[in-house]
Amino acid sequence: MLRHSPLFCATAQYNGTDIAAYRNATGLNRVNGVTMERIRRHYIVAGMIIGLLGACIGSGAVAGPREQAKQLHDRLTGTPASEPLLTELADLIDQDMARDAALRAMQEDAFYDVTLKNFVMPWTNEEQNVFAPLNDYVATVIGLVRDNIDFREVLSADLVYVGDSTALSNDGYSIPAVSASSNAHYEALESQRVPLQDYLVPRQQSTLYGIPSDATAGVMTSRAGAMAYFVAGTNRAMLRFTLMHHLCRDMEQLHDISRPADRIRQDVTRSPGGDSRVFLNNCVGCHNGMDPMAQAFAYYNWTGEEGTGAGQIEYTEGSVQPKYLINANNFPFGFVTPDDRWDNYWRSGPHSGLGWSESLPGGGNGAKSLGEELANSEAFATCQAEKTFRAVCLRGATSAADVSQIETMSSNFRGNGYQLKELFADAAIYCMGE
Amino acid sequence: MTMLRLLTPMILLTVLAGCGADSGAPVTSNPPPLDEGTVNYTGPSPRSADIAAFKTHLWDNLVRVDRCGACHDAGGQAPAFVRRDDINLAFTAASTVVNLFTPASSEMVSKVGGGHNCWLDSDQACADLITTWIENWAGANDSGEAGLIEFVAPVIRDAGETRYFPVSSSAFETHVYPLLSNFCSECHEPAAESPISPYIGHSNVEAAYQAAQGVINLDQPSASRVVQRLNESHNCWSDDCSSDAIDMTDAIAAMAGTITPQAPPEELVLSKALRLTDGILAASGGRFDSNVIARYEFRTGNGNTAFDTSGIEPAINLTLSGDFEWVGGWGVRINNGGKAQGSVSSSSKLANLIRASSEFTLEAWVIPSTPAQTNANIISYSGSAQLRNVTLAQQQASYAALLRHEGTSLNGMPAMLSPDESLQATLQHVALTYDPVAGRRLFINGVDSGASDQQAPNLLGSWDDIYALVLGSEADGSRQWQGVLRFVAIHNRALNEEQLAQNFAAGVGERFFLLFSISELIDSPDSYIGFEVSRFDNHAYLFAEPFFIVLGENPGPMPVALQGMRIGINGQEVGVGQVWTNLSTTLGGVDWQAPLQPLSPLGTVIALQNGENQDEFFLTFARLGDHENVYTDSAPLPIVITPGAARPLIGLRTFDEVHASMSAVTGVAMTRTDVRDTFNLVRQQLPINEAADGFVTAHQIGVAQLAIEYCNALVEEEADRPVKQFFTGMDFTINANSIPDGDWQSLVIAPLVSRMVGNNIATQPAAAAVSAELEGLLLSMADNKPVDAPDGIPDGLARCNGACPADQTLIATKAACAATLGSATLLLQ
Repeated sequence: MLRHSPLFCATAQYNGTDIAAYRNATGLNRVNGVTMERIRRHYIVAGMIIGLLGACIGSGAVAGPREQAKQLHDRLTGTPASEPLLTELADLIDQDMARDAALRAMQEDAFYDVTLKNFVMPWTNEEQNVFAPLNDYVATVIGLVRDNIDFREVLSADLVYVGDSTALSNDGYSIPAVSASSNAHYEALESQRVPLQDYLVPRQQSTLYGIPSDATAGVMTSRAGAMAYFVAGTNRAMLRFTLMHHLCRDMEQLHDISRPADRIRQDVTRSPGGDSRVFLNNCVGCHNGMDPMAQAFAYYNWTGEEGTGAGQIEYTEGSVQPKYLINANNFPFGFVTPDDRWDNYWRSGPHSGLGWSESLPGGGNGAKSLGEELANSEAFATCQAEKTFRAVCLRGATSAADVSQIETMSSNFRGNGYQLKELFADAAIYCMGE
Repeated sequence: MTMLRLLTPMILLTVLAGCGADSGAPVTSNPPPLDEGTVNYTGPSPRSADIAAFKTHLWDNLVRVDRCGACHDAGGQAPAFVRRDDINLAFTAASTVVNLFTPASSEMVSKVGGGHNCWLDSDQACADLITTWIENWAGANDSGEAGLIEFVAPVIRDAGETRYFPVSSSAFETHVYPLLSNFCSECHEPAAESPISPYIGHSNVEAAYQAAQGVINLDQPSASRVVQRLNESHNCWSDDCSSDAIDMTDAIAAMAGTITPQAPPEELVLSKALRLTDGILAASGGRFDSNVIARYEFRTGNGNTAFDTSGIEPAINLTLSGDFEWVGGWGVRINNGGKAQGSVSSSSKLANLIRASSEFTLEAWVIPSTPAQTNANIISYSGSAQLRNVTLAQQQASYAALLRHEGTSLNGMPAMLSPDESLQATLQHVALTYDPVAGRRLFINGVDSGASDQQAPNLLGSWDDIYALVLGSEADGSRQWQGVLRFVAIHNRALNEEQLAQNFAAGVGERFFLLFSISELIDSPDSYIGFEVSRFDNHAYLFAEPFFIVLGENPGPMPVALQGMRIGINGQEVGVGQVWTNLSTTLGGVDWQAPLQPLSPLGTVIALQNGENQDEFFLTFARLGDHENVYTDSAPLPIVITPGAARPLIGLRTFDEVHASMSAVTGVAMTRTDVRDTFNLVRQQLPINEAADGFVTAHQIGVAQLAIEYCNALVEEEADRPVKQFFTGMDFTINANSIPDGDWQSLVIAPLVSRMVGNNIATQPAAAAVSAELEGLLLSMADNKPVDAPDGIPDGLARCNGACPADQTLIATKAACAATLGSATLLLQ
């Protein structure tokens, strides 16, 4: 049974009036001619009424296989299914093969080009701008999903997905070559509406970007990831945003003043504005766990200027980037980064409940092992479940049943080889209507 | 006594075991009458250069009768270190009360600092001045060499025997205040004829309580300074000073008896405990101050005067006014409306001495409250916001140097700025130097900021001597700066980079070495873990660079394992900021380095609790030798997903979804130029997320615009096709009015509804209802529109009076298409 808020009905009723105002003001009406005013009037009326129908008539409908098929397809691809596909999906659902229906819907281009692209895009820039151009971070996640690769690889693999230049050329597309110093390749794929599932192919990131294979760490060392989170600053952004987007936790949720403060760098003032209480009550609670982890990125940098889009990832093996040693006089007795050794201080204390893998040591050198540490946590799996639930159901959990569903999805995700498509299928089935 | 040099920290030390403090000071006489007359020495010549330096730097400054000369002359009170008859004998006498290795530790300094006839309002200021003069005598400041530290065995005290002052003054009022009020208020009261701090006899019991906390020892009442002074026969109220001291001890003990001590948990592996006052004063030497002409260390901690301790007369003592507060560990915070200002007459020494040299250095340790302040004076020698000699100011995240000379304005403009973001809201050492060759230079933390002076340097003959030295604002209160000043110095030479780096390295504030005894734990005598400790700000201590040390001659400590060291305070381990919990090392053995073994270069801030005279510190260990304590951490927090408020089960299609959906149902490619261009135009106007309650009118406007574009493309493409794919059988060349209703219904409306709404989907609008609306749109013969002004033409777009315009068939189809495509039937999912 579908339901919605009365507010939405009320909102829909105003559409036509505002369209009229807008079109009168802008003169953007493309159905031109002497009868434009009449067309406008009728269009407004029809739009308004059909809007009402769409919003309100459906509210009392019962969801049978065709309705479920429509919603399942809508939510997975963002587009309405064609009549033949709708019938096919409805038949599968009618035969208790809803998972097959979901997997069939995910074969549509729009699942990759629309749903997944916009699912991932906010992870790739600090502003979480969904309008950012297609980039290698997004393409790599799409490739991982299409190829049913263990999604934990997203934070550690020596992998990047690029457009298949030969196939693209053969099919008449004109796409610039992929480059470590330019995003033009991906922007062209997007502007020419290249169906990504047909043309993306995996490549070694180390070869493409000229860094050692051991230094690659999935999307963290992608061009877009590096440009967003290794540019300027202190590289703490890479950890923070990775935690936000892959463990669904910002630093506020990881705040814990009881962790040892021995790895907090010198650049963190212990007395902001002359008041050490600010440090002892606030700053320390994030930096004590963040700094020993962000040390994993000590050899990384982005060569370009912030906001220009230019530059490429830089990796200085064995040599700590100067950004790790800046503002040393803010607290001379702070930690001086000697290498890229990282340690997970959240393995003890309250945040040990994030479910860190017992098969991993909780420390290491470099971004790759840190990526493995993060991706093998229970929080990572639960985060992917929460995100897909939100993307497909168009809301977060609002009931105990929803919570249970997300927990089940997380459990299934971990138990079935971390297949993101399975999460989408689980969520789509749960939210296709009853 | 053995002198040793340490590498880290940069100090020299003398290892002394079991040194005791002297006692039994004579009865103190009243201060002598003031006499401003100077003394001309006519005795024998100094026998050595050292004695000559003593005369120049110390004797000449103290011999005045308003300082020490009235009592400590030949035949007067011993020691006669300012005797006028023979400078060589005075030198011998001074040697008994002066420590040239650590001038601040000199008995002469502690005596005056403890209240012995200071000639200023602040005992601390007198002590600082004498320290400066002894330092000058010792010549340590010229060489820049660090002072010497004498490490002595500290008091041995078990942790947890700590009593600290309760918030309420009632116990104090009951037991101690009666004695203080009766017998000390004649002097130690601000309203007294000759008020002497601390005001332990204040008529206001709360004020007295606050003042007394610094001179009462709750754990060792007999060690309280108020008791010790009585034992020194300081203004006893009876004929028997010992009896008075016992009475005072008993009163403090009675007060302490009402306070429950805090005991640390038994399982802790504990060192012995110390207070900051048990520490050994670290040498504050190492500064280059040969040409200092005004200096402020803000050590007073109370009152409203910041004393100029440069020793260069006249002293420019600054009056603090407005909103300010003293900061622990030396410093003063200037708040909005606050400032520190000297008199014009005393400030004139700056003009006089700097005009003569035409170079100077303004040097300060500062903590700006924020990096957002503009036109904010930190140090200014000026008359108003329009007239100045020189100003060091804050200009957002830069330091600004305004200087008057022949090449700049009377207001010192144009200013020179340090690079953006070089100023930060943390403790920074900043120096503005000027000389007629290099011009202005700004140094931050001992390093040239890189700012270059764009004005050709010149002499400073245009400086006025009618301005006042002001810290924190202009004299009129404008150009307000807010933050903490922990040190300010003015030199009449431009210090070079090396000298400034030296002054930066010397640091700021009072530092101590605390030696925590671990002898019992490792069964080795005179074994300690030491820290450099200081007051960090009003709210915390700084513990830094721990080391292992064994006092005594040629120690060779056996190896002892140490793991997990923590700092405790007042009976409890500190919960925040521990930095040595992961420490794992071996004390002694092959790791031993005489004279001490550094354990870590790290430091941390520990929150202040009851004040630096009361807080008691100790160390704990997860493992030290054979002693071990297993720590357990707090319980893990499970991953919890909390259900939110109810949300609509439906949502909007977002921008890309709208685009793709319209392409899917119309069959028009998203890459078609006009469609693509319109999408790019309205892309960010379309819904950005699916939240239905986030729907706004702008969204629908964008949807309508894109729908019209798609339908225009669809119909145009169809019109060009010989065989229609969407509107199968439709002939767009026929006049609209000539197409029967049935054809409009079957060839236009039906495919639109089928493709865009769908068939037999109960959650979609009913196809018949949509069709009826479209029929009304296209085929209505009624004439109701425009509303209130019918035009005599049927309302249906495909119906006209007679023949319709030639392209009306296309237009009507596009309109029906757009009405369907741009509606909620597609927008919702």
